[in-house]
Amino acid sequence: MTHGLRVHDVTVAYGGSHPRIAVDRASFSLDQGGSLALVGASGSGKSSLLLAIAGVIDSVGSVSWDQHDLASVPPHRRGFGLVFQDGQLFPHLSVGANIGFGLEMQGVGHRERAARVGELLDMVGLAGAQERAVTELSGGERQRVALARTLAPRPRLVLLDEPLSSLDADLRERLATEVRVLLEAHGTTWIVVTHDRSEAAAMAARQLTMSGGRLVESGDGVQG
Amino acid sequence: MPRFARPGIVAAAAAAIPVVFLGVFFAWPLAATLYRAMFAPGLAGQTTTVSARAVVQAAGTTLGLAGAGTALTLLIGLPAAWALYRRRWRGSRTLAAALTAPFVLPTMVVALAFLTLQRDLVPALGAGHGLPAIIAALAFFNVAVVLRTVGPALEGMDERLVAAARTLGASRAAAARRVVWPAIRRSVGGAAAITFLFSSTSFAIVLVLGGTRIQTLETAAYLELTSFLDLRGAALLALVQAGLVASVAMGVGWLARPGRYAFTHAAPLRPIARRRDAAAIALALTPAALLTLIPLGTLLAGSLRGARGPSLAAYRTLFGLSESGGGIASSVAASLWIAVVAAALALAVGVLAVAAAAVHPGARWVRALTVGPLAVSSVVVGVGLLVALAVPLRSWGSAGTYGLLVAAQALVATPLVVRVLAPVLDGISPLQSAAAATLGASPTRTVVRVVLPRMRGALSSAAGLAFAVAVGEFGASVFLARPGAPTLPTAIMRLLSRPGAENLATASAGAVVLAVIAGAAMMLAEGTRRQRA
Repeated sequence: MTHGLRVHDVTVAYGGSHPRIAVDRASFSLDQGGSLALVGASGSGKSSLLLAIAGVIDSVGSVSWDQHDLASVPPHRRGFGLVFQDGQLFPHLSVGANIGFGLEMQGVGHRERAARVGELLDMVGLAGAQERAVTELSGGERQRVALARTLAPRPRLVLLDEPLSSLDADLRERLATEVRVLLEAHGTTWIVVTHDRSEAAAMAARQLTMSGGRLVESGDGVQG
Repeated sequence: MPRFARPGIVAAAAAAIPVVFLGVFFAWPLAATLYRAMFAPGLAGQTTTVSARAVVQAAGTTLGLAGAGTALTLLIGLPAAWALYRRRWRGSRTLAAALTAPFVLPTMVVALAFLTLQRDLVPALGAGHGLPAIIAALAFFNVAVVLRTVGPALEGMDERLVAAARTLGASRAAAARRVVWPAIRRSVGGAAAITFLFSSTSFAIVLVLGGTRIQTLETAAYLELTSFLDLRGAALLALVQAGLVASVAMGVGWLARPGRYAFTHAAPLRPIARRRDAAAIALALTPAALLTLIPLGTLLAGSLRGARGPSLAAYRTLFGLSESGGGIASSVAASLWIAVVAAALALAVGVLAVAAAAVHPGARWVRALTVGPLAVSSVVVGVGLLVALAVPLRSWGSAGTYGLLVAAQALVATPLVVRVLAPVLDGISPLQSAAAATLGASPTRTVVRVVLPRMRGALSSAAGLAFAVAVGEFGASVFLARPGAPTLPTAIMRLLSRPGAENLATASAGAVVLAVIAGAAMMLAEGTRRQRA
């Protein structure tokens, strides 16, 4: 494989003198444009693996993209976007400023930023919500804004950490399909972490299962 | 609080004692001070010797010192708060507890610690009439304020918020500026304002380390009264001090108001310190640790210094066991019982004020009134009591003096009692009382069986804090204690005014005893609170 993500023997440990192994020598590859679901129970290490790939927590082993090792690349230069379970929207910024944050960091000008924010809000079904306070959003709206914020700077890999688990069942089912369509429309590569097998099947082409910090089995999701 | 049949009457009954106490011992003395400053002659019959220029200069010195103290506090406190609360590492909790402990130390103890430090180890602190020592002592106290105020904001901020910014392309600096700073900005403002408030009312520190050469409004008032018997001048200075501190207190309220956005998280993700963070954490903590440990160590060493090496001579002298006499054992005993009575009074007034406000919203002003003594500085409380009540109570002999001391210490402790109790009482869901009522409990039974048991921990904390504050109280007591019957902090001040290394060692021993008494009271109260939590 030449293009895409390669994770090799990644281990994440928490704690000082008596460390707890959260991820134990995980290895897998994902082609550019592909999608993968990491499925497992709570505490199985799937979120830690995702955070290690994003570079926001320490790990040993190697994470590479297009055969370039990312060990010395800080998270803000990896070009990997991260969507959190509860959105983690910046409470002091409006919906528009949240979505435009990544573009602002890239130095994109105000006009171009506003255009892209408007386009993304249209895509996630929240047209005209630029000035709304993020504290006023419903759970579903918050996750849509979080996804739009992650997609705005056009990341080469999107990492989604239980993006729908804080929502009720009906909304979860509907959004799972919507998110997948959006990610495919963006032509991006993505990894979604979930504890729900049907959600994993709806959101990714391939599944890997994690248990006790190890990747234990793989399977194909429903193509869609 | 349960719903009483006649909440207005219950609230009025509860509010009666706080209103009478604060009216007689705070509002009236304040009004009498105002009258004295404006119209009445001084004790010796003369008009005041204080010029307008001197008042402006003293106000300028007060503000300048408070500003410098606040700047140094933030410079040392903010990096320490980051190292202790933003990263998790073994021992961080213990160190945080050690660095926040100085907050309960009486000001006289801190003043003595820095005086010993200046004489024995760092003479440079004494330059400019002790200005560097005063500013360092202000920081010593207030680093704890920064840790207690900014710490929770840093600790409650979810690291995922920073991770979100980082994965969106923000560098460490950009994430700190755009995400971390907005989350802690208000708590930093609040900490700065509270530090400024405390720094502008640190009478004992300025008096011990700067003498009367550094004239803040408080030390100038003290000088007018003790050296020139100019009660009118002292009243005038006290009044300006009250106005200045009240304005700062209003600023504190504005800066520390709750934020529009909640950054804190119920179960925040806080990263474990990485190996490469170790050097940064050590660097961030060193100034705060040195500032706390060295002065206290020097104070202890100073109290153990004899003519020929280490000895307990100073402690023997302190308790009147040495042949030379001059002990202040009676002051220790007097301080203890005055503080016990004052703490009990402060607790009663605080509980009743908080209860009245909880029973009926119309009684909230009573709770607000209890903060008054904190908002004018203890020197103003002392001068006020002297102006209004010293003459009538003098006819009661020493009972009158002790009564005034109890009132002054209770006034200074009451705002802190209310600050500890009010949030706990407000935090008890009304649904708990509703549940008790539907199970057949009367309002009184609900208070006894549901509300009070939930308040026990807070009551014990408040009692410990009230005692610690009362026993170390100096600003008001120094104006009220009679020369023959001083409290421990005022006795220490008297020892300091006498020449000789022996007197300094005895004063240091007295400060160590005072620190142990205040610290033990707080530890006992906290231990009880934890057992009941």
